[in-house]
Amino acid sequence: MNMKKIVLGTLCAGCAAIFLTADIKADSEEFVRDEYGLLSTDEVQELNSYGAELYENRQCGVYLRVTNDLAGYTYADDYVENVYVVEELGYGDDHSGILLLVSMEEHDYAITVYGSAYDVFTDPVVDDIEEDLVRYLSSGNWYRAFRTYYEECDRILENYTYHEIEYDTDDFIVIDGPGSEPEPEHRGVDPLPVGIGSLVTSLMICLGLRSKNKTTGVKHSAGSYLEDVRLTKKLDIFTHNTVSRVKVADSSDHNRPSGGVTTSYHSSGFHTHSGKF
Amino acid sequence: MAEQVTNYQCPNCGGPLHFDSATQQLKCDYCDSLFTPQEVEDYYSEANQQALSVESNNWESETGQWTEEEAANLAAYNCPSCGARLICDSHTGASSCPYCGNPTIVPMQFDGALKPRYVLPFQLEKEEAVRRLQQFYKGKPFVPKAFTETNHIEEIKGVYVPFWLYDATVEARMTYHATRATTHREGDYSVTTTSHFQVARNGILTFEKVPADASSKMPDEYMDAVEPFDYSRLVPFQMSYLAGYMADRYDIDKDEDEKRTNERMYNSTISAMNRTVSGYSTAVPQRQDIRFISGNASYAFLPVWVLSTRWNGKPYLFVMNGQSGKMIGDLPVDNGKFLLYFLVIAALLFAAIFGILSM
Repeated sequence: MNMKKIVLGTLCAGCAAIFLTADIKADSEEFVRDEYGLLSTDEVQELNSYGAELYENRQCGVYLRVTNDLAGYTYADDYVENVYVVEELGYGDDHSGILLLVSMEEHDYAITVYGSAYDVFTDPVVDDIEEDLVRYLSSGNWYRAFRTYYEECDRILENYTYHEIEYDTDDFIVIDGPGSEPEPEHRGVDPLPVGIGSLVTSLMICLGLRSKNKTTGVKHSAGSYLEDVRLTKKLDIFTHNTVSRVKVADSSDHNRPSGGVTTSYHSSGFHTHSGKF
Repeated sequence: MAEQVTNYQCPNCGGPLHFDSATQQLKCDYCDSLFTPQEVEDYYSEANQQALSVESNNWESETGQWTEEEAANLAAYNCPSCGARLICDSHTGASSCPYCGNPTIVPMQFDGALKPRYVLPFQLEKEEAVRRLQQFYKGKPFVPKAFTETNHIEEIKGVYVPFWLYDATVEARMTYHATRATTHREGDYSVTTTSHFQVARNGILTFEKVPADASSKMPDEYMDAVEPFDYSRLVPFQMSYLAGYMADRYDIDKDEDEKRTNERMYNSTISAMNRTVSGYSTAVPQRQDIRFISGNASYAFLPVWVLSTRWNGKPYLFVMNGQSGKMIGDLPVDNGKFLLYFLVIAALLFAAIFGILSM
């Protein structure tokens, strides 16, 4: 009996220690830092509180960094990963978390996901986050962009935590959860573009069929009557070379929200998306 | 002005002769005797001289029933078989007597400078034209059912259409700006190296027998669409080939048709020269100098079957190549069917796409 108490007590103490440690860390974490000054102090504070709340309730670090430039890095991908490592961001032993970095000098952004957060923030999910984010960033709606980022992360983490929903491409796929039957849940398919696409395609097919009723027409070429082509001069002179360099997307990259975006996967455990806004 | 009309009658029984496309000879309607065009031409060299003379066509204007202009476009002949008075277009060269049905030919329409150089004899019969018209309706879902079921061919005519066949030699001088691109990967970058070239091509192109119909009665869009003809079967013109068919002499001169033909040859010259520039990613023409350095036109008769019909008060014309059987013509569209197809296809597509996306 005594032994049982000791074990229970130890477990409770351990749990409390972990909980308290997490709480203390949550309080001390800087979830949002705006070096460039895009946000007001209140906005920073509000988003920071949101980050702390997620840290506590969802066991995941959701971070935002707004910087003046890439601090000497060529690519935002490298910089965001460096920030994550240097600042020792993330929740728990595996440093699970997601970091959005926005560099204002050349309008770069990068999102990196680390640790078990990648179970939730898979590539298609981050693609979806980017879609809204880039739209607001491009229009200079900074607070809305960052607020949406936090809200999206919150919603995704909530779904994952309570419904054990794993995101895939455009749909939710429910994986086995305790006490509930797997039940597919779909994002609504917008019937309007499907309808318009169907009407346009149908019209093209029908016009194609209709054109079979008209077979007359004036000819503008006489190729069938060309008997001979004799070349009397054939000259090909090289004049100069031009070279162009374009940063390419990873082969696994798709569903990008805007042009010029790349994704890189590192063995270190980072899954990073980046682009311009 | 005296005008002559000839019809070819069987040297054996006196029955009317017409050109038989199956045997490529003239055949007697009564005794089925066959004669080559040359035999008939020889036989009738004297007969042509005995053809009936008729008064000039200015008699119509004297009655006051025809205007000067109308009268100028009409000609009157007497049928050498039955003596009936035939009034037809002043360009008509071959027709048939509406009373006795005998083929009649107006030799003066093909005299001197008006003599065609070639004729391409009919290869297909009238029955084949009717059969191909029925086939032509198939596979066209918007043709009104009533049109295919109830409409009747009003008239089928085998017509030798006057054509100018243009031979031309064209000189082309073209320059292009061409590029050739290669791409390789350098780290995260795709590097494209584009090599630029100045390309020049000069050439001599030869066109042979580019056709242009020389009859204002035949719409250009029909005569162009009914091409091509197999010129290997062209033969020197003999009037007896026209027996049993309609034929008008040309009323569009070669200079007038030449503009349209030159445009066709010009376009084809550019296409042909463009094809000589190969091995490049892009080749954009910069300068094109096209000159026609020689050319001549031959006058020829090419065979077509003309089928006319009327539906809902509107005339419909179909033309079949008398040699290859290619049928062309514009068919009416059933707007109700069009709408029905449009809605059904749209609904099916919507259901299929929506179903796939919702899965």
